[in-house]
Amino acid sequence: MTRTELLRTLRNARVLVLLLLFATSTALVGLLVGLATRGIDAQGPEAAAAASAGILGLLVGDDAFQRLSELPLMVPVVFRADLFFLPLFIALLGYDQLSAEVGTGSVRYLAVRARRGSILAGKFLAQAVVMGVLLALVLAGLFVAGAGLRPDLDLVAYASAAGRFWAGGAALAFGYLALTALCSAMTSGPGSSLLLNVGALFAFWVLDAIGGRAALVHRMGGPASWVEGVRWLSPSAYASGALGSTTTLLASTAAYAVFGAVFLGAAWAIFRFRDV
Amino acid sequence: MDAALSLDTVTKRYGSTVALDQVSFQVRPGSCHGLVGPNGAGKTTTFGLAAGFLRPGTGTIRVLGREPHDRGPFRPRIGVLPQDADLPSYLDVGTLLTTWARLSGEARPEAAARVALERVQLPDVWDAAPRSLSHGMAKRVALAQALLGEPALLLLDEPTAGLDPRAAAEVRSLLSGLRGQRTVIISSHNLTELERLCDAVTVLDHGKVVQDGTMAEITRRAAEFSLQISRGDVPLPELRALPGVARVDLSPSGQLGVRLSPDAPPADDVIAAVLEALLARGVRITALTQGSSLEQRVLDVTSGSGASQSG
Repeated sequence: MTRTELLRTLRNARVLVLLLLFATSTALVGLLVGLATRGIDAQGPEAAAAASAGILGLLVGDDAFQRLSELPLMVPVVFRADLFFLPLFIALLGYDQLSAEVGTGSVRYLAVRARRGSILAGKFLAQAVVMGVLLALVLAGLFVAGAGLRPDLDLVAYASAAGRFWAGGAALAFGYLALTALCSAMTSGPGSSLLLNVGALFAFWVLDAIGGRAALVHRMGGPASWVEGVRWLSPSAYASGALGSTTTLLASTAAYAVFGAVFLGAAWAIFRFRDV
Repeated sequence: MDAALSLDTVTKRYGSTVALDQVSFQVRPGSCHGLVGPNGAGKTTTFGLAAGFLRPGTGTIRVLGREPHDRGPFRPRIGVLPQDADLPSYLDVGTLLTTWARLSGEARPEAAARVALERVQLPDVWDAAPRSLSHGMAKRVALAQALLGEPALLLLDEPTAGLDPRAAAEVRSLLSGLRGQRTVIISSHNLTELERLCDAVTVLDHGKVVQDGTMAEITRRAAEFSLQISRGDVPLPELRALPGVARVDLSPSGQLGVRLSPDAPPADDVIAAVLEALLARGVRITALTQGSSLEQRVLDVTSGSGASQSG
């Protein structure tokens, strides 16, 4: 089932265009950021790290920016931008995985011979494999391009950072792929599925923004509020964990695992009992 | 023997619309069973419930003795030709059928897929993209997938709709060949086709069963027959006096209707006696029809809202 779904995904012109778009936009942003920051990287390791720290402090909430500052500045900046757009990209990639087949009735050819859970799992795994490979390719390109900006890199640490980024990005992708599967399982047409998915992303972003603002007010000396906590109900709140310290990365990965499990479980429960 | 399909007081609603209302009927194993009725009668909903695509609101459905949505190791082996379900466009026909054959438990999926395509007379579309197929060809590919896995029960929703006469005849021939080998349930616009293929019929109207029985019972083959008279004087009193004849009517157009009494001898004996009496008087006959046509019977028992027998 997964192999067939993988074939289906890779033969879909829209998916191929999206994959190309994601890789190209990453390359373009990388080029622009690389050009803008090559002066910083050219100052030598210590000076570059010191200059990068301020920018990186905005990207990650913990002390991980010190470790990140050992990387070419372009790499974490571009990866953070990728993580910001990844949920929307995932929605565009997979919004019709079930809803379109329910809409056209073609899911009936599968439903008569396979469990609903297997159908859902096959489609989800195919999307997950595509996202995992895409992330690996994009990160490989990003890190290879970054290596050209800082010739004095510790290659082992550099490769390790690439692995951490991939793990963090993959965890985030898992959570959002599950959300997309849920939206697709709930609806009977690609249009309504995309609308629901984008609406959910926006709602989560708003939840994160409201909680984040309350937390910022608190940090600036304002009163503590329960509103600060609502951001942790949103997957968006854990995105920067992919660039953070080991503890933050693990917490972020665990959070996305929980979100993913909840969304997938709901998708399974709904798709199993719904009419197709 | 357990029924191949049984519905017991099944109700299915879509919002406030009642698609099926307390529907109960059974399909005998090995039979060819027709499901007919006007548009919106509930035929496609019944198919969806039997195939496990839909869940009933109330009542129970058993397919080959099991829940229809059971896809476990003891799942009912059914093949379904769904109505208006597009073939997936992302893979070629051969790959699609091979995938479905594998999921249907075929030990040699590609070989089974090729055999299924040959059975619907389409071996040449193996490498074709589904969207490049005509409506009729796509319908036959869909029929091929229904045959995969040697299903014990076939649910065919409008199997010949949209086919050209030759293709429709080939499909009818294929379905005739399946008689006795497996249970086939067919919904069709074409009531003449159903009359030829099916052993039994369930007539639905507005979500309710309005007639259910064998084809002979529904069409009253054993209870009445008619003759088309071209010339000659019909001896009505003599015919009415024949054993087993309950009523004889002659229409101005020359249609002679004969209804048999409940205790009549076998219908073919009565037919022979009537023919003998008519021929002895020099009456010329151009046609003999046993019972009413299924179309006429369906029109008789359903309301006038769906003049065409579709949907």
